[in-house]
Amino acid sequence: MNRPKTLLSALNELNTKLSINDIHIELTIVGSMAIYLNGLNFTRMTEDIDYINYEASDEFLNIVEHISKEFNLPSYWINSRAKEIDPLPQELKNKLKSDNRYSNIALKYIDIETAIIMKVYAYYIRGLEKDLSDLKTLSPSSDQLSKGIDYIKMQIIHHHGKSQYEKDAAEIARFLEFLKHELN
Amino acid sequence: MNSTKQEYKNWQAFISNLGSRVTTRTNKKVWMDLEHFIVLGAKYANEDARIFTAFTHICIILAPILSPFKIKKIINSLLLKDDEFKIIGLMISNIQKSVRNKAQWNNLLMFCKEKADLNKEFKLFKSSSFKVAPELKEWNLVASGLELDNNDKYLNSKKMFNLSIVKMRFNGVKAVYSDLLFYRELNGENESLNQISKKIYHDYNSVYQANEHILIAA
Repeated sequence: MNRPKTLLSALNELNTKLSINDIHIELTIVGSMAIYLNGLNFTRMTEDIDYINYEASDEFLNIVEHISKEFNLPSYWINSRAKEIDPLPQELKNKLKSDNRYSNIALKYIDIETAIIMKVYAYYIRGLEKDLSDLKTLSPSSDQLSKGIDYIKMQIIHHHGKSQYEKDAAEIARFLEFLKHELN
Repeated sequence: MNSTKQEYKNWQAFISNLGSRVTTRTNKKVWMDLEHFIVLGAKYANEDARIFTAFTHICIILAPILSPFKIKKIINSLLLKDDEFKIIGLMISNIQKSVRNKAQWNNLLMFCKEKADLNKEFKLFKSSSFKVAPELKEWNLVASGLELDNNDKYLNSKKMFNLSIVKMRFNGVKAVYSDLLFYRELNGENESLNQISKKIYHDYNSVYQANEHILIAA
């Protein structure tokens, strides 16, 4: 079974257990799982479900832990590490998509363009091959890459100020050229 | 199915048996010689960054129980290509960093460096990289970084340590004994020791002696 399908089965079980406990939550999915939910035909795997905009209760975390054992998944098969991404892309909220398959989880997920913007930023910051690999799968347009670059600029200015951005600007320009060459 | 496809399928099933979280799951146990699996990783792990990362984690975790002598024997029998020498060389570098007895791995490392054309660049995952990961530069491999600080994301180590060959090796069972027992566990008792010795990359006399000891101890 492909990993996204396993994770969706686990999410289904999470919904069942939330329903038994009469808990209703709203999750906004980002990361590779969001790409999968957008219906992109990719065969490679994702390791976890990243969500933002939800403060997990103890009950929720206990259920998640129970399911991780039941499905033989890592303890953080669903996690909120992405909540550290701040600020989020400006248009994220307006472009969210909804998935109504669950009774007790109002599932929202980012659209492809937002996923691209966040992946461009992730690849610049982390330099991980898996982010570049995801970008290849997403095959972004030049315009979408430029929006990703704008997001990097926004992050740097927000966290480190304009003077830092000015120092990094030449490298970021080279980064954009690299992405255009590699992905277009 | 041709033999290469079958070999690839077995490698994928075996990496799943070793607990990979990033490949198609299978609960069916398949037999593959442990060191053969490591060397074949030079051919097959390069397919995808996540699989390559899981494979690297496996090499690092299994480092203390792997036999450098057997790995060299298998490398020689497989006629690896230049890029495959670079990849197995990188894995041996990772293994060497994880073991206490570095000397016995050093010979193998030098062997790979002699065989690989280190002046020629090889792009892992068929792509360029904005910043090449520093650990890849020694082997003139081109790729961005791998996520090596979190093996739980890529591997179910409980599943790995439950695989009998891994369990036996970590319990101190010598390679020839554990290899023979693991082979028979999954392939039955019908094959001759001569046939088995070739498949597990040990000489016939060692396999014969191991078999005698196992029969006495049974």
